[in-house]
Amino acid sequence: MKLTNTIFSGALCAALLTSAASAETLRWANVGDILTLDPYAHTESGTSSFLHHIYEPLVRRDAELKFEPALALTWEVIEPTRVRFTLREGVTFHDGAPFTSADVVASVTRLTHPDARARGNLAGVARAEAVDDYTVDLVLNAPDPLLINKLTGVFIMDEEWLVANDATLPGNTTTGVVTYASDHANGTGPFMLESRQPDARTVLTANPDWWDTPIHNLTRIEFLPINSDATRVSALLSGEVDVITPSPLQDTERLEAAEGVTPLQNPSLRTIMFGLNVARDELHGGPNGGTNPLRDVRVREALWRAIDMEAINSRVMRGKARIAGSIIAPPVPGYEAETDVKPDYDVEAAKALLAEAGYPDGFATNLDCTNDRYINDEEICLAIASMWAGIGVDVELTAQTRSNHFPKVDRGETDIYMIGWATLPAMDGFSPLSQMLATREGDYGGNNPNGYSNPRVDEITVMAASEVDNDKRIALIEEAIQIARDEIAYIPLHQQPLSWAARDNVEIIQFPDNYFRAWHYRVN
Amino acid sequence: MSGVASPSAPAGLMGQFLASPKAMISAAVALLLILSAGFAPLIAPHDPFALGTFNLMDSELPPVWAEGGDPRFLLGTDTQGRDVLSAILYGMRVSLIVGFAAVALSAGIGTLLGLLAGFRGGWLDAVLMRFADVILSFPTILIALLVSGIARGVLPDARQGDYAIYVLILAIAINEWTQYARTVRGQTMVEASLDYVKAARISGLANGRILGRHILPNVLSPVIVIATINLGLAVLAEATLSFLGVGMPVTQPSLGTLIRIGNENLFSGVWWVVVFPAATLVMLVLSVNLFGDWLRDALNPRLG
Amino acid sequence: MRSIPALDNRLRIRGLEVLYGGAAAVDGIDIDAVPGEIVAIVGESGAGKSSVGAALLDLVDPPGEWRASEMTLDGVPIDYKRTHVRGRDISVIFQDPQTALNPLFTVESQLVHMVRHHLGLSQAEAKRRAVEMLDEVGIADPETRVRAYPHQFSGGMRQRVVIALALACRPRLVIADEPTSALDVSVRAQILELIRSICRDRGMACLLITHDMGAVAAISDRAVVMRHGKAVETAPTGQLLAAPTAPYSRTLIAAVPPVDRKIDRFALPDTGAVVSDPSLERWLRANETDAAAVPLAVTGLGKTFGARGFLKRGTPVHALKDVSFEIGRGEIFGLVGESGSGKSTLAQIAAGLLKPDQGEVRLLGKPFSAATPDRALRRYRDGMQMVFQDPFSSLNRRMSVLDTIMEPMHGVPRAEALRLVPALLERVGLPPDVMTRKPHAFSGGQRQRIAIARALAGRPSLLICDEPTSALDVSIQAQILNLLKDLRDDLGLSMLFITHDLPVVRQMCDRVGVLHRGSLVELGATEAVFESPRADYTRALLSYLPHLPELQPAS
Repeated sequence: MKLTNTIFSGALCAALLTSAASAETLRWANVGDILTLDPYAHTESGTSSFLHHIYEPLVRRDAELKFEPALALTWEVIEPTRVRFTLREGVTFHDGAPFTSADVVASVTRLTHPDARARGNLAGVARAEAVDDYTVDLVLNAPDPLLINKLTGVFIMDEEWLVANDATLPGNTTTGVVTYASDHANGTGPFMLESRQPDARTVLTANPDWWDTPIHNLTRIEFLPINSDATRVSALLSGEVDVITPSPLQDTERLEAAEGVTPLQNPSLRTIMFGLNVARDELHGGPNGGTNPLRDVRVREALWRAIDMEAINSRVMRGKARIAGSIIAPPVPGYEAETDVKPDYDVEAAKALLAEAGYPDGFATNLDCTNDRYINDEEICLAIASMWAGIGVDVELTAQTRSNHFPKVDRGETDIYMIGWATLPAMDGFSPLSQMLATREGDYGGNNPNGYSNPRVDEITVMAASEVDNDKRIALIEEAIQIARDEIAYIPLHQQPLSWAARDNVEIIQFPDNYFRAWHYRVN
Repeated sequence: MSGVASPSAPAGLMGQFLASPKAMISAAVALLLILSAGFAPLIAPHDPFALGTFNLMDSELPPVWAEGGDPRFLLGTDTQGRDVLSAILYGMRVSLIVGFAAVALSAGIGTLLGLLAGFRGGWLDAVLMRFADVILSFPTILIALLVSGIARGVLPDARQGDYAIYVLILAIAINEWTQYARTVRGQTMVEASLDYVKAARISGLANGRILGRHILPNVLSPVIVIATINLGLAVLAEATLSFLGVGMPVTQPSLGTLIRIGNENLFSGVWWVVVFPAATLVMLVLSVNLFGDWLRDALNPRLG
Repeated sequence: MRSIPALDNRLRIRGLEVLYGGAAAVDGIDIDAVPGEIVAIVGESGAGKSSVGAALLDLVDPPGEWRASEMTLDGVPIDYKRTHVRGRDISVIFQDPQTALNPLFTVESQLVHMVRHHLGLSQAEAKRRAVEMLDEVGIADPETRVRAYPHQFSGGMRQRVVIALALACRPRLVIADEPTSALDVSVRAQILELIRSICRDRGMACLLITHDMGAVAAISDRAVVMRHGKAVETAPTGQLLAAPTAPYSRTLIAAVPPVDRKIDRFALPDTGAVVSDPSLERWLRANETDAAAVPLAVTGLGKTFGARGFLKRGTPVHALKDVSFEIGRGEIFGLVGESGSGKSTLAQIAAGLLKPDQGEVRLLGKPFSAATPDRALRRYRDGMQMVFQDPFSSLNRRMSVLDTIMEPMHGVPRAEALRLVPALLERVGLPPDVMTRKPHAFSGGQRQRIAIARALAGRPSLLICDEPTSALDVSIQAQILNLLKDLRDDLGLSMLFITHDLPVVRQMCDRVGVLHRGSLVELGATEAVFESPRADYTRALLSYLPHLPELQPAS
């Protein structure tokens, strides 16, 4: 009996080990789970990065982040507001259905629906019109210089599949609307969905009928959310997973020293900042004498001056972050070094500003942060909460999972909240302008629940949206960014570093947009 | 068949206590920890809950005896610059408040329900015990998560830190009352069958008075023992919940929160942030458990 | 099968001492027993008689130890290191057949194991022997019964099996340790008779360790009276019972309720002198209820268990069937029955603790029947008190004596209660300063006195005594019975006295009712019932009593 048990468990172990050690499986551990499988229901780049393996856009970015044809072969501006795309033929969805212009039309219709959370990604597009099976026109509201940028983030879905599964209306992670597409997927991408267990494991298998020639050698990707940094690192060190994203900064030294693993660090585009609620008359955090202190620019400056970013960078970010004064990173078009200036850390000056604004004893506010989205997000917020307490601001800190945090922010239920913006997929200053600075109305201001509103900024937004002369367009954007900086519409903190770590047998490229593109990776 | 008095009545509880090194040491340690936690505001060198009193530049300092240590922070600082020693004292305070309150609440509810079930029997007994069975079949953590979740939904978002402690106490107490109820019920049924209860009835006592005056004092011994053991369990439960992030807020770390933070940074060499709180937790729970162990044995002969 | 050598199984013990941590439980006694003879070791609790048995079997647990200057069987010292001494040469009949047999094994397997272990018989031979043994001890149909489990036998039958087990290897000495204490009186006599006949027939020596004078009288040839570890008197049984010489023996014999005649009080030396306080007497009598009211009138009482209830199935048990009787003022009414007769049920109903199904009880004129609402019960119980059988469970171990006795004192201001309680304690023969102590400090007899004091504190007109002395030693029993009689005489208490012990009934009760399986089969004046019983069952009960030579009161 005992011998049989031993043999049996031995065989079981061997089987598990073999499956775990399959050379073509990539086990990817991320800090959090993806929000949904529906590409139009969310705007979180982490989820987009994952979905890009299942779905594809008309145009994608290559290894240098330059544009490259994907589902569209060529495009042409035939009228100022009409761009014609010639589609790739012979592409099939994972369920075998052929890819045609009808799918593009259905996708655009679905994405531009007012209830689509991600509709801001295709702002300015009125509709799509099929010309023939493999030709489709995108009709714009106005000439759009960033159309191709935007399209790199627009995933094409299968019209027949949407209809058959009653999912022609989009989901929305903020309002909580779910459809069949939220937990099922049918795309054209290099990998197919095999199984999805939320908060446990999502598995993709290679698509043998993919239209492109694979550089990768993966047969299978296992996506595992592991929230705890220490656990994720342990899993990497023990060989349970092959790649971890992100890798905790504080463990970089250790990972460098360890056998079989290598940390990867590069500057990223993502700026971490605080949004400030100026829409409400009173803050959620307290009546403050019936006023909203955040409405006063002196208060905002005081808050910014009270943050010792040097300390945070050295202590919390291990010196790997880039302190920011502007809400966009240097590589992003629209960035100006003159704008990128943080007011000096000066506690006394901060207190004086508060007193001047009418809050000599400080005020009370809430601070909402994530604890599983940005690098050391909770630590940063805790440190800043303490710094603000030092100037008399009574902070009630809530640090929670991003699936609760972002909807809360969107509903306007926060006072000061943490947000990170990488300008992706557009990778252009127009992205934060139109999403974060423009007044929330229509296609714009989708990520501006704060009530920040400046008429000149709104004006610039409209102009830049259709300005085809790139230099003029950039100048407009720079102006808007400067206004936002002067008014301290947001309090930028830093650009966080990209920090991954992988086992040595994995050939992996770390892209500045922090996107995972496993179709470039190999496991040896 | 007895014509002779039973042998000299068991040496008083105090006598037994003084004769047992296990009891004295465990009680001393537990008492020391509990008192230092209780007087934390007085004896802690810093207040780790007061945002603005700690400095990020003081973060990750090792204990005073190690190289780089600072005499201001005897056991070092955590990643935010909070003094680990103070954090342990305040954190233990939170843990103990939750522990004691949860135990008191669950013991109170459980004893009351156990008395009723054992004394009345019939349908009341059946209903209560089935209810207890249902509760028992849920894992503690699950119930605690449930209560936390409901509280977050029901109560306004502001000042979550204020009610977090009550939610914790309630969550843990909901789980624990069943133990007391079952034990007390069994004991009550035994006691209720004894003749002195009949004598009390004949003497005209109402049921309530019989329960309170006769039965309750006789079923308290096991309750006390269970309570002592459960204190340790309650503290551990709170630590687990805080570790999972659904307990105390990050600005008022309990021992569990400290262990979680320390755990995140364990590999980068900052060992003191997890080792000292964990050691304290172990010592606290161990000493309380040992004392409860001894108490159970000491009270046992008297149950007969 | 080995033949048993014909040995002279004479037991000689000299100077036996058993010590537990320095204290002597047995302090140097001598015992002789010849084959076929039954020697009784008699004593009350704490006398050390069980320790004698333990020493003989070498079952004294450390740190206890025993030694004897001589311990021989037929002149050969008993060597306990030899494996077969216990079980084969010396065996034991235990008190409680319930625990003496292993419930998991059949009778056969237990007997077979015993026999094979000690005698080395084959399986088949051992099985045959098992059946023989069951037959010898009088179990009918032994071939089938041998395969039954212990719980499938009744109490008496089980004890027969225990005896069979003890005798299976034909031991030379049998130690019977309280073999009948756990049995009903009807079965008791049979078992004793069985032990006697087996010992006589096989020429075995038997030591009967007991407190039961009746058993001693019934079957023993000689008796050793033990007290505090010493042998106070050793004499042939008849002589001991008729004319004890040692003072303790005299007290002991005097305390035994005689079977054949009525005595008024037990002639005991004055221990626990009762002190009477006039103000207490006044207070106790102040609760004179309506003199015309009959203390207790039971009419057509019936009670059934286990019949109704939608979840209950199984055969209903008729605990009481149409019972009727009355108790007059100042009368002690005895209710006799064996276990299962329904006497406890009747006591509970009379006390208002259990509702009858049919019929009615009137306590001092207040009715109690199935129709009585619960809240009326407290009023019903007014004027009645109860003394229970088990002195250990009838007092709340956490309450002081003072609080216990004060409990029935309703409406009495504390200051007055503090005066009354010491007086009550003295009335029942306890020193008043024991008020502050808790029950565990007292012996069984003392606890019953406290219980009686508590009952008196309720100023009852009717006192229900449910086997009040069954758990007490015989000398203590005598004291308590004397006390109860005194109280009746002084205070005019009526009593419902429930017991299974016929001699006690004869001594205590004016009238008696005999309960058999829930029905009152006999009712009448005590002497009449004892001298000329009308019911067959009564006659049978009386026949179980040991027939003793005339007992003269020790004087």
